[in-house]
Amino acid sequence: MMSKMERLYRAGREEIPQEAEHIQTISRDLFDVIDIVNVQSARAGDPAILVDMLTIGGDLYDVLRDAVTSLNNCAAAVIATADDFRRTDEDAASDYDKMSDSLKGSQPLPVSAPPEIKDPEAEGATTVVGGDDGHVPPEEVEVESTPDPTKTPDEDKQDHEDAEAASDYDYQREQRSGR
Amino acid sequence: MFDRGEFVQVLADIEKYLGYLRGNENAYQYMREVEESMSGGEGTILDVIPWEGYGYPCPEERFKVKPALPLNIYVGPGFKREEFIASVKESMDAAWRNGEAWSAGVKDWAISVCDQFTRPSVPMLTSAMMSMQTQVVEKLAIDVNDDWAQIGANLRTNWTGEAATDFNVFYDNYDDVQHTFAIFSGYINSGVAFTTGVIDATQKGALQFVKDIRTNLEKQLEAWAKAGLKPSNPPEPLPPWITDIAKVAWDIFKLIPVGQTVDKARTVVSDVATLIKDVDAAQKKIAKDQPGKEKPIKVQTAEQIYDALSKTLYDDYLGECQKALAGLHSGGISESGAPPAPGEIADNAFTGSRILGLMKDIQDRRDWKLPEVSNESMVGPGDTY
Repeated sequence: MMSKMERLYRAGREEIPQEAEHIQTISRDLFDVIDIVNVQSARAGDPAILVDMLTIGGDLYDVLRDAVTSLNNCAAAVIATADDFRRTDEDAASDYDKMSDSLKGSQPLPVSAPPEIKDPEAEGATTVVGGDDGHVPPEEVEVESTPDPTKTPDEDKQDHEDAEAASDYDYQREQRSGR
Repeated sequence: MFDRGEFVQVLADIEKYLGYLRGNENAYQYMREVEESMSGGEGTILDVIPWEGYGYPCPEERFKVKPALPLNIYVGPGFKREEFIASVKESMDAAWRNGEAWSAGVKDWAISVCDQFTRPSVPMLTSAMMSMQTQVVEKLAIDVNDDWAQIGANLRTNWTGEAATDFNVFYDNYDDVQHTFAIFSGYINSGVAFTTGVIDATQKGALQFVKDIRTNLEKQLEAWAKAGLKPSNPPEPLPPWITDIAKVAWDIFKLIPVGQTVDKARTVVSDVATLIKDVDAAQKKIAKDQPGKEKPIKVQTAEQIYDALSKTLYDDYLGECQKALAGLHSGGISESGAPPAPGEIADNAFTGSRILGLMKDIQDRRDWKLPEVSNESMVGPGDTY
């Protein structure tokens, strides 16, 4: 049976760091999804349904992103706790001595938190292009929200009629008819 | 797959052909005006003006109209025949070119009407929703496990150090939050899948529609060129394709799992997987199978064709697409596209604003976030191993 000490070190050096990596991977994938949806939403004129989804996605992402940092801290806190017990309690020290060398020696590095996403629900989008192949430096690009059409069909039709009326031919026709 | 470049090219052709057709109509109208203005009077005699190889200044030979019948006018003494013929031909050219002045800008305005559904990339949205499903939704859909790092509840709840409280709240709520997030990420994907399906159908339908309009224009222009005049029996127009976007939206809407947070995450995840599979499958067959709607449209004269083009793109494509997307936000979606009848939409049906409301309720209860955890030891004074 696993000792308490071994359980703490396994949690702090294996279970929780693996969980941090797992959430980091999910967060990165979610970041990419939100980025794509945000850009496409801007192109679609930011329809309310996508703004709803981006609001939820942004709030969800923030928690997952913070969870990566908290999981790093959880792992460190559990190890600090185990270390405290090892120093102050004979049974703990004895359990520690019985642990495998690989568990004693493992020192997983903290997992880095994915980048921030700023208000994906806001109008338009900001995204980064390039930088994938190492040749083109990454560049931040603004994507404007596609506006509604500026003219109704009736207004556009009037413009075509006005353009026709202003033409040479109509002028000549008016001259001929004496109008 | 929808190709925006192709769509813009078809609109460019339509603008050009509308100009040709309007030009034919103007030149024909001018001929009639000349004949009417010189229809006789005292001391006049009939003069028949042949066109002798003259054709409207259309740059495309297949659509060039060469007037088939001579101009019959009554002229008086001193009539300067050659000068008159040159002047009429010049005016005919001007009248024809006036058609181009009339149609200029059709393409740009139509593009502006369609931008909101032609600028989004359906393949990008599809790849996002596929990735969301496999890399986010399904990975978050864990079984609830209160001791997820196998520390043991008896052990950690004995710690009384300052850092222990936040750690224990984090540890206890961690799997519940993931479970909630699996459901909400599934809902996000439902909204994205719906939007993708509606935009896909609108893009493909609009492309088919403008191609039909172009075909009708070509048929009319060929009839003019063949008749050498205004065709007495113009070809019957092809009924242009109009996608029933409300029906497409309703079909997708019925697949979306209802918006409840008590649902088991795995149920939502599998329902969303079905929805995405169906939306993806629908995209592959939508060009030929998507529901169309009947709407009689007159498409013979340039003005009729322009009206059909502008009103259909504005109302039946942009308007219906916007309405479907707004409907999924607010709950205003129905099979007919009209405001939903009482009971047509279930109280717990998915709508963007409802899902947003559910999230805010959870946030207000502070069950959405996890506490920040410090990295310090959780051993308090007197705590034993």
